[in-house]
Amino acid sequence: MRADEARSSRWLATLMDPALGWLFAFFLLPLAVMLVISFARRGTYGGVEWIYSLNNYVRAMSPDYLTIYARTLAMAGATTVLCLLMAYPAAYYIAVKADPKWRNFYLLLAVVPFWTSFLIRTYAWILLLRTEGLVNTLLVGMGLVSEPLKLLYCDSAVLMGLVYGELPFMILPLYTTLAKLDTGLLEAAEDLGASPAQAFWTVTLPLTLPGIIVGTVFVFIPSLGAFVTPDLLGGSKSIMIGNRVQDLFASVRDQPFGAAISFLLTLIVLAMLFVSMRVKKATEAME
Amino acid sequence: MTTSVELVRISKKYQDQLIADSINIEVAKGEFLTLLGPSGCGKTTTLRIIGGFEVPDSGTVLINGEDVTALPPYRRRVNTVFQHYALFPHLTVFENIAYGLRRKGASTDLVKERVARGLERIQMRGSEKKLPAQLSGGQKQRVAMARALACDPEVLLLDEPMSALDVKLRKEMQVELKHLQKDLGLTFIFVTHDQEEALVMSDRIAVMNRGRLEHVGSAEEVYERPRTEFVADFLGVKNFLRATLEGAEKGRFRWMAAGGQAILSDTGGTAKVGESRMLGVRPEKIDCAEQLAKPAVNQFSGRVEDLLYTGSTTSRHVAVASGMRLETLAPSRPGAGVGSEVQVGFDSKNVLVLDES
Ligand SMILES: Nc1ncnc2c1ncn2[C@@H]1O[C@H](COP(=O)(O)OP(=O)(O)OP(=O)(O)O)[C@@H](O)[C@H]1O
Ligand SMILES: [Mg+2]
Repeated sequence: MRADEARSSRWLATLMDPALGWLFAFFLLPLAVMLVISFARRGTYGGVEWIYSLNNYVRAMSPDYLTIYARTLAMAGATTVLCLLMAYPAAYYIAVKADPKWRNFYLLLAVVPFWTSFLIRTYAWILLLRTEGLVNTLLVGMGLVSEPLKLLYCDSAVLMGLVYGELPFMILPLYTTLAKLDTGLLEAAEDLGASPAQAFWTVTLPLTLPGIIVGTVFVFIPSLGAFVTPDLLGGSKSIMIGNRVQDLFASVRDQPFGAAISFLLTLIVLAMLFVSMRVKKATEAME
Repeated sequence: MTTSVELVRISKKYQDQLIADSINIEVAKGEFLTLLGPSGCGKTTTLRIIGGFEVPDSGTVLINGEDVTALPPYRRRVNTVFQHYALFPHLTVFENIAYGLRRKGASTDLVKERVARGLERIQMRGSEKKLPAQLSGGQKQRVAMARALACDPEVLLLDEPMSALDVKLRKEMQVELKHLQKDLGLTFIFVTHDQEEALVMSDRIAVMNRGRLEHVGSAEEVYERPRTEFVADFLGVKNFLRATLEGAEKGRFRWMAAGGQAILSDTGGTAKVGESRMLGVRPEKIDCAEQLAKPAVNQFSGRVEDLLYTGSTTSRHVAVASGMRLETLAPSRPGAGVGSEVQVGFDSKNVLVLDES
């Protein structure tokens, strides 16, 4: 077979690939529709007028929105860092220290929350954190505070909700890389004079970088687009970009502007994915 | 002679199974000691106790006379070449070798100089930037050596460092390693289950069996005068015969085998008259011919049952009357074939008198 013939038949095979078909129908196609809408104009009654301009993108760059982007990035960043700090010791314990007999059980514990709807779990947090909620009742009851604390409807409540929701997505990829870690390498490090802390920084951490990257992507991206958590747990000032997009589509009914913002968000995410995949490849090439 | 490593009554149990059973040994400075034994006998465990990776249940580890039993590995001036090398996959050859120096906070210049010297020693200059995944088995082994030596240890522990190499390369590395050890004057504690490797390299061999040191001695001693049946078996003695000491005869010891054959030996070992012992004879010490050139002290006639030709040597299994079978080994040359009647004979000095384990 000739080379170009082979190439064209490979193309055909690729197009017919069911996975790519799905990707096209449920991801690329809607994205393309969104892209087109994002250049259109809001109709008087919330519809779309097909008059194209860059106006939506110009508006999306206004200072008001830039603050929301910054808040959103900060929230997602903080969520990711907190998840990483909490998930790493947990994953390390499960993968390396725990009795192998119990490993699967601990992993199960990490994913048990998924058995209940995310919405219900978020409402449960409201019950716990509100002024007459369980936490405040206990704190006041034990005399630790005289007045109930304001735990709900603030940034820290949103952050907590996000960390709570995303934690398993950090634990699982970290567990996978840590489980593959050859503990013989840690012994080699200690043999060569590294204290356990030094062995961690020079061997364990670099070798689990791929897991950290995957976990970061898994946590950062959903946090970036979060809207349920800030909506339910946050106050009026805890708004994230996801809430704006939801408002624009659902109540303000300015679909073209919402599409423009969504598309910008998608671009940020894709750029991040691209960078993280490059880094991951580079770190994995060593093994 | 100063003592480099000393183990005093070291014992270690895993789930009720004694893996190290009251091990006592002294290793002199600059000595090449080999722990030799079958798989699972506790060689790696013993090495790990010296390296600090396992804490013994009882007993003391002394290095240069100092009790280090409770010290973690990174506080011991002992380095290990691991069974599967354990090179850091994310670090280059240079950084692997530099690892120990960097942990000690050595200056950049010193690191460069030492790593360069290490690479020179293993003849791998120019490979600084390679990652372990890009190295062959032999190269990995060399880098693991250089990495351990870069720390300037007093004792080097080697856990079957050659087991992953092919036979030819292994033979070369054995010679190289032996030279290196002599040049550096370092104490080596080397683990292997390959008796030939042990004989070639060691100053002394400690033969291990089920967590115990059965025989510690020079290569020649454990080979020529193994103390127990286990040691003899492990070092290639193929013919065993249970016999009872009957008494002395013309300056020799006279034994009566279970099958009724009389056997003469030069030594009585630890046996008293009337006691029974296992006797052993190496295959290469038994002559086998249709007609022996000169009569042997212990001589039998029999029939060749099996003939195994390995190229340079031929092994003949001879059934001697009364059910005894003797395995012989001789340089290959035309001789008795399967089924032929032959005479077998061995001298009394070649009869080993072995104790129980
Ligand atoms: N961490 C452990 N837990 C339980 N048993 C162990 C452990 N490590 C080793 N053992 C057991 O101890 C015994 C001795 O093991 P060791 O690794 O010292 O043998 P070895 O002589 O080095 O064998 P090999 O030649 O196969 O490497 C084996 O029976 C092994 O199953
Ligand atoms: Mg071993």
